[in-house]
Amino acid sequence: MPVFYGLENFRVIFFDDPIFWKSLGITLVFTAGAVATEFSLGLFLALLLNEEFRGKNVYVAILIVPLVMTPVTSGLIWRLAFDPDFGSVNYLLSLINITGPNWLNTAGTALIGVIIVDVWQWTPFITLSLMAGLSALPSEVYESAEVDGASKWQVFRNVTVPLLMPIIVVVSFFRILDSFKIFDIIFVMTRGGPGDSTTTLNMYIYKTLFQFHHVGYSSALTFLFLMAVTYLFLFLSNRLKAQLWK
Amino acid sequence: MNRNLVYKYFKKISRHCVLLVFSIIALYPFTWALITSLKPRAELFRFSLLFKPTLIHYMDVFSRYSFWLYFGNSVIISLSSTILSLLLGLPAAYALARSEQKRSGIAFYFLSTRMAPPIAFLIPYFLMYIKLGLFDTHVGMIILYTLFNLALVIWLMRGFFLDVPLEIEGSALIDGCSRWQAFVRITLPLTSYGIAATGVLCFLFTWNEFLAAIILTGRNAKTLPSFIYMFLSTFQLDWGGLCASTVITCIPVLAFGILFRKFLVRGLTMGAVKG
Repeated sequence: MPVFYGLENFRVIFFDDPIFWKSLGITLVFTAGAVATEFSLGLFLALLLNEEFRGKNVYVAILIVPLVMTPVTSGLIWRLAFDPDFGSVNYLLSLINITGPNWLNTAGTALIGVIIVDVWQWTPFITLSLMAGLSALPSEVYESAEVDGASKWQVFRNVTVPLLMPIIVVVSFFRILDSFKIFDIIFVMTRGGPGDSTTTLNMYIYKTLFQFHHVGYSSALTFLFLMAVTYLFLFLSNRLKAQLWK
Repeated sequence: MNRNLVYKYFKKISRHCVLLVFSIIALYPFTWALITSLKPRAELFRFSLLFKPTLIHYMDVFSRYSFWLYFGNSVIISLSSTILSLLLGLPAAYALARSEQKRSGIAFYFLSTRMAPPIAFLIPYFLMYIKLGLFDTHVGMIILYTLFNLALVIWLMRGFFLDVPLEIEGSALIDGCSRWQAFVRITLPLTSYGIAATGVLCFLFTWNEFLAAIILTGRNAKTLPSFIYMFLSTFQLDWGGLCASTVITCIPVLAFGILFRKFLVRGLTMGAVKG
């Protein structure tokens, strides 16, 4: 029989659960690291693909592959690639005389490994969205900027980026919320380990329920997680609204 | 002049080089799986492309792991939930696109299923499904995925319906069509491409979904992602089998994704970015 527990679960979460705080930190580091890298690479690729040239369609089609490939399968194959003995990553590193770390079994590098795979999966999303934005920009603005003698960097900074802002905001909105909820890749690559080094909030909730069978505690965590995501959503959603209602 | 030409070629070549590197990385997991799935057992762990291709792993997957069962589950569950969410979502999207209060908050609430962390409603679902006898059943999974997909259908189709000029429907109404007839006979055919794209995206996301699949299925209704996960947990990393199942699992989604790539960004942002 369930027993009434009052707010005890919440007290434990806030004051007595170091793993909760650690997993919150890991989630934030993961989100920041992954989203920042995805944006830099994604913008770079979008600018490279912004002109018409032969073979462009092939590159775009290839970019789709990480996005739609079943995440469990790509996670598993990356896991094999990061294997210290048989994996391709360390094999490639050994060709240039670097001894690769034991990626997923070392506390420091496991999170990096997971971030790399998230970046691999989601950079194309940023690229494709920004390409959509870039192709919709009015050419008159660029012409008049050129007439005014603006340098390429000035045009980029003062024309392109501000005009792309609505899309940048919406896309980062989705990326931030989604990487907050990351599960598939971490689950198949590290299961939150080694230790707790890749245990994000989502993983932690999963573990409390399905490994430790603490139904009440995991529900309390879920409630807090839901509140956090809701507030994050409301905080970020004005721009999304403007874009959606257009 | 000459210098300009050199610069132009340099730019062209370097662009292709950079894009080529990115393409190789993007294609790496699938290509690796494809190559490994064709390797004979003795060659599995070697970094070599010189081997006699064999289909043994594919035959193994079908004979040893009852792959058909999970493949069938995935097809049944993804297709049914896609169709069901289109049936439920299309009229809702139409109503939201044509209602007086176009910016009603109701539409925005539908986004909650996309924004909320899935684990937040999977734990209640898990507990309820066990009590209701829906745990590990096709019906249970179809219901759940239909709910997942509804938000996508409503938001994407709302956008497509808004693109249909009101005058076309208006003249149908004047000619004596009822609202429902105007919707079914005029608007739906005009947006058929959008409906196809939405359906494909629903199918794709359901096919790839993993968290709900491992929480809410045991043996009966297991779908491909949670089957493939068993290569890690139960089958002790049979690399050949893993790669063969990966290739078969990914081929439909890759084909759909590339065919409907124009709509992918639109789907991933619930219609906010029109790719």
